[in-house]
Amino acid sequence: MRTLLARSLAAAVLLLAAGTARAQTTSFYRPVQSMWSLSYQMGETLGDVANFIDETSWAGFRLDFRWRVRENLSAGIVTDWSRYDQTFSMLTVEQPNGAVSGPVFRYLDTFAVRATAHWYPLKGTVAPYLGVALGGIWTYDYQQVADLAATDTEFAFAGGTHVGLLLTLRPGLALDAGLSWTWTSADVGQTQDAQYLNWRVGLAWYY
Amino acid sequence: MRNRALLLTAALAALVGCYVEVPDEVISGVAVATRRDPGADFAAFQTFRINPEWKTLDGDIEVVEPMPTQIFDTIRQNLLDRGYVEDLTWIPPDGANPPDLGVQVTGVIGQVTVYYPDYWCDPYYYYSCWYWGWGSVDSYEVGTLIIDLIDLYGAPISGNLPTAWTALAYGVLGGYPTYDLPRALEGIDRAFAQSPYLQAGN
Repeated sequence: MRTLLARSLAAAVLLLAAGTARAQTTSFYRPVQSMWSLSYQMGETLGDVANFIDETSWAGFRLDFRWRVRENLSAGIVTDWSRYDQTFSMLTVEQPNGAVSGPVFRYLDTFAVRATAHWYPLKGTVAPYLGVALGGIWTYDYQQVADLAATDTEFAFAGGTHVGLLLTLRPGLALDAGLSWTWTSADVGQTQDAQYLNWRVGLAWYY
Repeated sequence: MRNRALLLTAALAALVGCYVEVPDEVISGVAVATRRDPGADFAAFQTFRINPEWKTLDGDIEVVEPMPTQIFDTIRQNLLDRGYVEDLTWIPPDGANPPDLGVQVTGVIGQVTVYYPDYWCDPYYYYSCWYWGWGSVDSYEVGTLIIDLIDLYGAPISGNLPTAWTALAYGVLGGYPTYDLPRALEGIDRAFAQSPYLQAGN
């Protein structure tokens, strides 16, 4: 009887411990788990590319996968797409030995795929993080004046930093919000030094 | 299931986000391109003479006829405003003492295009492109008004006459005079406005 009681007690302790451990691993995101996040993304152009389009992008998304590599440190891959567009009622573009003027419509698509590393300084329901991303970016720019159009596409280097936080809503699910700065070597619309500042909000699932 | 619905919604939003609609004001707008000879000294020119006849091209048909008065007057006034003096004494084409600048106007009524791949292209008409990355505009589409300032001052005794300045007002000659004329005149004024180097010396 004593043996049975002892065994039952031991089993209960083990089950409780397992339950506690499970509750701990799913109560907030730590880089001991895998996570993927889908976010709505907005953005601004910075640097010389802002001379091509300087209106806010309201169309974009970001898909982010992360895996634990160490305590408080994750590695992963992120892909994001943004559409910037702007209409100029009248624009004069100076060119070598000439100029072109007229009402102009421009848009710019950016699609980046980058490897990431993130650091989580705090643990808890609210988990801020800092990260870096390095990889490539595909850009497609289009401009049209009257019914004449010019396009250009390029694949270039992209690097940047992220800052954000995960707010756990329930075990396995968090709100993911953050800000990213990206520098690229892409020459968009005859500009150089293309930079982007994106902010986002979305949901993260971890397991 | 909920995740799938979310992904489907996100994919649908992305597709909607990819759709591009060019505003009507851009499609129906007047585009003006200008190009200058980098070696031309526009301050050295003093006098000009406009050919009162213009050449219209409609496919293979070339017609020379009197230029519409409003177009002639607008070009003339722009040149006068920049300090150039109209020379009516010269008897073209072989008279003595020609003016420094000869002005020739061409209207492309039909389609006369040159294909330059990967440059400015007309998305609605196949093989219609023009390139201005190096300052050149070498293709003419339906409804283009072309103004050439010919350098008679430095012209060689024989051979082709050098063009000192070219302006193209695109989409201004569509066959509807009441609609086209204001657009053509706007295009002429803008061509001069975006060429501040066109100024006679004192």
